[in-house]
Amino acid sequence: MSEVLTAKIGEIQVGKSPMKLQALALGSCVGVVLYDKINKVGALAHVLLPDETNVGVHEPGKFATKAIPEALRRMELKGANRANIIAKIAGGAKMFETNSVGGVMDIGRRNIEAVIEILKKEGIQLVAQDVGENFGRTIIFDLETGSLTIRQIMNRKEYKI
Amino acid sequence: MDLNIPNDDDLFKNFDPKIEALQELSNIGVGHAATALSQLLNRRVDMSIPRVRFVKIEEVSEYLSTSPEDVVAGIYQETSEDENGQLNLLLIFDYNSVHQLLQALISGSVPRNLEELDDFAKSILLETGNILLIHTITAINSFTESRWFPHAPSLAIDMVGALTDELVTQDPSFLKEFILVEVDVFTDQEKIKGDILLLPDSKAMNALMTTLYGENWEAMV
Repeated sequence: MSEVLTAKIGEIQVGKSPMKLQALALGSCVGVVLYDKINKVGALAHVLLPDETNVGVHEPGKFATKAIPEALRRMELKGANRANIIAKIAGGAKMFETNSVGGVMDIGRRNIEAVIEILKKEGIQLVAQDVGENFGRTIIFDLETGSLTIRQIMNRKEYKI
Repeated sequence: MDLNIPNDDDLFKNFDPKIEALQELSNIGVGHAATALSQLLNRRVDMSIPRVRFVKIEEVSEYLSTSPEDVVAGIYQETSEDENGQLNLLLIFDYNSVHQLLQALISGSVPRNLEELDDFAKSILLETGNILLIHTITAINSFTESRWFPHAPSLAIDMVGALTDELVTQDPSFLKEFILVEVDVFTDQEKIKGDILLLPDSKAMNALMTTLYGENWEAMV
């Protein structure tokens, strides 16, 4: 069994093959995985919110705007080459049906939009995504192959992207 | 009353007057809710003294379950905003509690997995949660002289971590610390554990705390 690191809410994990990185029970949070397939270095950021506006906390891993640049920086320290890095994303669900106006509970969608925008800004190609809908996801990222396993516990489904 | 707090030394070690008063408030709310549940189940219902904690967003699912992947039922209720801000609530029933509730309320067999609950079972869960939450809100309203009016509740069954995600990512005006109220409800046959998360925005927290401790509550925290 290869070593598995878990990124909890707001955490960034970085590793090299043959390690695996995982994030458990993503709801409206988005799991962003970054991968350099030549050097087999990867990162997983468990992103909570699009940005830090009005929140008043400064933990980089929580926000899409901070987490992605920080994950890229840490990958480069581990020997990744920026030009090789691609991204996959999963999560951003809407778990409860609510009548809220103004998108208070539609944070999943806002997270997805923010992550996609920041990846574009950083020049990272987004190669696969499994986002939105109304179920939770656990994701496991294999740094040997670069494949991202998605597990929907409620729907008893497991697949790779 | 059965306190029923095995291995929970920290609650006593860190005696906190803030928690004491919230506990009293919860006691009133849950007392009302237990009476309502007793009528629904048509049998005698006892309850534990609610256990109250302040929980950080990152740790919520750890308090609610052993693994963030455990499947639970969550009933989420928003309230309308008034001059005291907004107070939303989330009620969590774990697998055993759902099973016990459904066995008490449905004739016939109850599915072994939460994933297999049909619409009828789900609507029963939603209604039961609704009753408990409305009574909790009513108690808090009369205590704080607020007029938080409950919106239609929403039920989701999924991994506990995924359900709490949605709350921790709420509007930035909401606090990043929640009030968790744990309560056990007993009948002669069932033991149902409910975890109620109170999710006040900063105005609502202020209203709650001012009622409990006066204008200078922040000095006590």
